[in-house]
Amino acid sequence: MLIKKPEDIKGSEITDENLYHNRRKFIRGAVLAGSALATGFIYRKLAVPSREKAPADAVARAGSYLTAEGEPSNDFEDIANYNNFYEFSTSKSGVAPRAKGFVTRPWAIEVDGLVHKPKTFDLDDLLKIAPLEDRVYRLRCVEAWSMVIPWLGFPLAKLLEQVQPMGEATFVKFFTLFDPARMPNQIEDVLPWPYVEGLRLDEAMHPLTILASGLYGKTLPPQNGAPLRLVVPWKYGFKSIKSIVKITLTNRQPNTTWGDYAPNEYGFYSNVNPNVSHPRWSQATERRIGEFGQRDTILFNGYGDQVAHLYKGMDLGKYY
Amino acid sequence: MDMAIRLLISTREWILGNTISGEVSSENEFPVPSSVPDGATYLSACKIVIVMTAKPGEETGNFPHWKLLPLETGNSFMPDIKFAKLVILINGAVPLALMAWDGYNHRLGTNPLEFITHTTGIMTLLFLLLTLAVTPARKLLGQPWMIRLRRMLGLYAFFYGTLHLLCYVWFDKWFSPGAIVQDTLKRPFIFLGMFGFLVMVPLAVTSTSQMVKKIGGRNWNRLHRLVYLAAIAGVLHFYLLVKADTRIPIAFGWTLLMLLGYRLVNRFFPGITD
Repeated sequence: MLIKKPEDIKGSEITDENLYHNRRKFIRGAVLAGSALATGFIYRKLAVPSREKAPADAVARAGSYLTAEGEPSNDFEDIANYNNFYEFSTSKSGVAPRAKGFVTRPWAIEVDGLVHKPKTFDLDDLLKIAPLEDRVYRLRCVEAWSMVIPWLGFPLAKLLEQVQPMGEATFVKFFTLFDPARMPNQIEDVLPWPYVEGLRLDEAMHPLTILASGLYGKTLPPQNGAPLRLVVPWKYGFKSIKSIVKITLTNRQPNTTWGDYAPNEYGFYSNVNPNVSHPRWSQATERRIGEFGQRDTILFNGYGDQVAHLYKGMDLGKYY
Repeated sequence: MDMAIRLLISTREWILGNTISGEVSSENEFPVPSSVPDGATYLSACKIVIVMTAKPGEETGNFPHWKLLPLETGNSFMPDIKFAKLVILINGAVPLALMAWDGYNHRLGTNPLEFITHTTGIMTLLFLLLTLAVTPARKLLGQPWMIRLRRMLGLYAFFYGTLHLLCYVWFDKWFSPGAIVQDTLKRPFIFLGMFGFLVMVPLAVTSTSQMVKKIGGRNWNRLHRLVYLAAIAGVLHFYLLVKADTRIPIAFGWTLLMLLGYRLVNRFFPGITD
């Protein structure tokens, strides 16, 4: 062990006094910068997920499709990165990354119940039942935001005609895939799985009601309900069930996932209605994604002239 | 040994900022407090007790083995409060700065207004919990100086709460007093949020040292117990907003429960938690 005596230490080895005090400043600077970096890192991790880009070949610019009323469609990136799909994540921006790589082939859809010709369809056969058409619809979420989405699909009625509903069939029940290995958030019990939804048969047969397999003219991204989802544009978004594996016709009003979870908050009909509040928040206005202000919500999401007759004489406050 | 002691003293200086002047040696030239064990070296200049031990069988003249004993004033030390406050000031502003930067670059996701509203709300709750964590932390760790960081944490809670309220009043209600009043009276979760914010107002107003003097420490403490109400209202406000996945609000709730539970235990069984 070499221990230097003071006279052995060269002048050049002794730390300059200024430098010595600068060192203190340096350490403080490092503590400040280091902690700020760490805080920033944690914030980034928790708060801002990356967004999935639109496919290069997609005609996915905002406004490249218009609704019948001339409202411009939302950007592909907005539609594909803001999803309520609890099977993957309860965070709307967290669904897209977790749904990436979701396998949708092979895919079978079983149609049974009160029908004359029950059948299990292979997805690719099912998509040949009727020509796929672009349908630019408003989507109004129960959370009071909305978008305009150019779906690609065909009327649900065309599928139901194939299986020939019996006379006593009055309701249709839909089931989402249950497979926690592929839908990772199904291991959490945030909702009772599988997700189920229902329509009255006349609602299901309505020409506005479609099965969608695409978006912006392309295959539906997994986060938007691939490979096949329901779209009922005059009802709150959660009625439009995603990743359907089974459709059953019945003569009783089916239970629905959100209706079971909170019966006083989510009714069977769940028609868009500015006059019937969610018990915890108002439904009178909505934020259209991409806009700064609030819009007034329209009864039946603006499709009243086509669907109001379905609910003639019904108390919409009671049958919410 | 000289080197080792110099190193200790310098390190302590760098961290704590109190400069020591004069020559320091390993000789026992300072008065030894009664608590220092036999054979230990006490350096009053840096308030460090050094125990030197020689390993059996080792030749004399070898570098002595030493260890540090607890600092003189019972484990507590006085860091540079100003610097500690600066660290909190900077770190508390980081989320806001990043959010502003992301907003400028259009990177706040699909629903930026909702994102800003939610993030400022979460930050409010986070700072409320941090404020409430100061007392348990300083007692459990035996660091009384930590109390002096509490005001800044509390003011950050109020600051983010104000931004959060502004988001609601602006983005959701367009500064319409009628709509805000109606919403507040009709919706429990809005009511709780408003209540929590209004409770924080007098606390922020009376946060200055002058106000503490004016009101008197006892009364000031009583008044500032309102922060418990603000935090409870805030967590419930969050819980009622969520549709189904209540894990995060429940985590906030448990944390708050522990922080308030500590105070209850301390009140009815004083000394147990020290």
